[in-house]
Amino acid sequence: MASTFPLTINVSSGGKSVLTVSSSFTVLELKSKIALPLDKEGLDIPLVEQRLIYRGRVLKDDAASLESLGIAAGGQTVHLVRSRGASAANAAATPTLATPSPPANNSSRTNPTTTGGGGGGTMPGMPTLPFGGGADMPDMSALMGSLGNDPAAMQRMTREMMASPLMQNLFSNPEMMRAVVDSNPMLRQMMEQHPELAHVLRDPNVLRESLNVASNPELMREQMRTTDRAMSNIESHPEGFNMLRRMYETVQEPLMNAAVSGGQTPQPPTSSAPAANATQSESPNTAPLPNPWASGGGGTGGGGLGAGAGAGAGGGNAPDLAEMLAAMQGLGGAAGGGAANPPNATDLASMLSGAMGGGGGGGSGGMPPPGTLFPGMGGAGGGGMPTPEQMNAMLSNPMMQRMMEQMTSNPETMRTMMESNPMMRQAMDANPQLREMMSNPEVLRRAMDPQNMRAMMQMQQAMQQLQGSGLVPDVGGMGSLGGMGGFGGLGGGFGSPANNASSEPPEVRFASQLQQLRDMGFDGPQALRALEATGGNVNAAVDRLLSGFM
Amino acid sequence: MAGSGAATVPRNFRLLDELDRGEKGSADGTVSYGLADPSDISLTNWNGMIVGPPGTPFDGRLYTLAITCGDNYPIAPPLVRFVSKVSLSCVNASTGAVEPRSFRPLGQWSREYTIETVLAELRREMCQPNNRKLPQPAEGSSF
Repeated sequence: MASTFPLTINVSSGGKSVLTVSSSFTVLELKSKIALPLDKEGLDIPLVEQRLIYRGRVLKDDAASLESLGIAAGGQTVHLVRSRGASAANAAATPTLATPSPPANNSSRTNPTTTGGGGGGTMPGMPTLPFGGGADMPDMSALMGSLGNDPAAMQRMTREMMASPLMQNLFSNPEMMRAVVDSNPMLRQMMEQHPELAHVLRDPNVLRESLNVASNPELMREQMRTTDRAMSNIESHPEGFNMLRRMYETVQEPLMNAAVSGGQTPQPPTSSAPAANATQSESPNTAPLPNPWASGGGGTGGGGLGAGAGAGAGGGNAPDLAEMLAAMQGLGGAAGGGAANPPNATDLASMLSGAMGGGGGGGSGGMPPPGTLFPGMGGAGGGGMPTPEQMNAMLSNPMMQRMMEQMTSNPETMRTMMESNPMMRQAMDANPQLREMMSNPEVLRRAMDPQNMRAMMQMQQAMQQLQGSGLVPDVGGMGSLGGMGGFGGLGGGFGSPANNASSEPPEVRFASQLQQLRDMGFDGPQALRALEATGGNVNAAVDRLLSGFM
Repeated sequence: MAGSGAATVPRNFRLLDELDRGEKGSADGTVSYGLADPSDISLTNWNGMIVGPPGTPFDGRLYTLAITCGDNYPIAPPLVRFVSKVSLSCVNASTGAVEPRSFRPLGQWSREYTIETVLAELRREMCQPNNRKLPQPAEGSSF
């Protein structure tokens, strides 16, 4: 499977050139191309004077193909050394066509036949894979831009990328995909609970398909049409419209918000659910949607999510794919949106706990308003208390129920979430009983039961009334409500960590994240500073630390 | 982290970065390096190549090196060894190993240094007057 790509030739005597080469080229063919005169896109360097070096070794003329040498994608550079004495005096030292250059000959490692057998092209070490496609993009697009920067070029590029052995190899190697996906514990947990989702994420065909669609306008339109038709079918069904709207409100909007904006500007809803937008007015809150992740610390989460969706597609088209996934997979949308997202551990947690914050009411413990995730809850968040109707709507939403179910059925997730909330931890340290309760999945599940939640809401509301009229001075003291207050705090804590910030030193607040960074090998005050700057988002902190290095 | 000094970058992040830069090519094209075995996920064994500087006895020759980045890299310097036979004051004449004692970038290693730094500095060594006078073995021989 040959593909063409730009290859940079760095000539030792000065100058760089980019040649378009095929991965099926042998080294000799590459040299022949370089030997072509300038007006035929060559470098006009006689074949016998060329010595090509890549990855610190001399390329031998008889090497099977560029692909077998690991040269199979744009952005790579081959060094060319001209042997000056070629013509006369130094003839003995000059490599000829038939005999490969001596240094290469003497190094047993440079024997190309040892790597040539792979056929699929040698990979440059697994860890580099995730960066592979993305890292090469700027060069490619710069090149394309010079050609005319039209969409067709973009599509061609995507196609070429797909055809490249690197991508082929990635997709055709389920082990590799699994390794990438499995390296995220959150993702892994989710997949364990949702085999169908795991299937989607692990199926190379799905990814390939998505990219194919992206590279082909016809297919893209076709896809969109199908989706639109499906949507209108659902819409024409009684109750179907409401379901769509709920789905949109619960999943799509926050997702898009996070994916599209860095967290600063509220986004108007996009086309895939325009009807939902129209009926928004019945919600009491028409003010712009606060981004659920924005309060964390400068929009760290938003970027993460966008990147995540992109990662799912191998570095390409983020929002559309996420949108499609969200629209088509029901719960998979909620999970998938998060799931396509490697750096998502805290993001997803905050999404879920944002919802829980809403559920808990964010009231009784005197908590800051929960980070709002749902449009309907937006106004309520400011007032401190969602109306029972909104609460009901949210709780009876099947998606919401499944989300909660999924979350509560996984004690590990719960524990992580709670441990990472300093306020919660404090509360639990002070009250071992509470800890016990919180770490019991059964109790949690029961507490999250919509029926119970609803009852709890009503109680809280009554309490607030009482409190308002001065009858009951301290709500937080109540036993069972204390538990719920904790949930409120959980949401609040995630929604607006800045409010808790001053109470504890960063070492304590970010203890678990700091440990994670230590495990990765980062240490010292920089790691702590990065965590502070990113509001405790480990992935963003790593990005920061690494970019500081460059 | 601009402005707050370089962060302490762990070994693998650092080596991945070097691998990337190696494949994209250094600025002047006088040195080249890459993983000896592209599937080596421990990023330990590297190939290096130095293009002999013009106007010296090393002119036009290609020198192959083997570089080993241990677990403590970049806190500890890499082990560097010439595979192509060469006569340099800092290179052990029988093994080809670059002696940290007589080669400052290794002897006084700083974690800011990279494989590329080492190769470029070795190339500079080739331009030093004391090394220019040394008789060089025939091209193509190896340690």
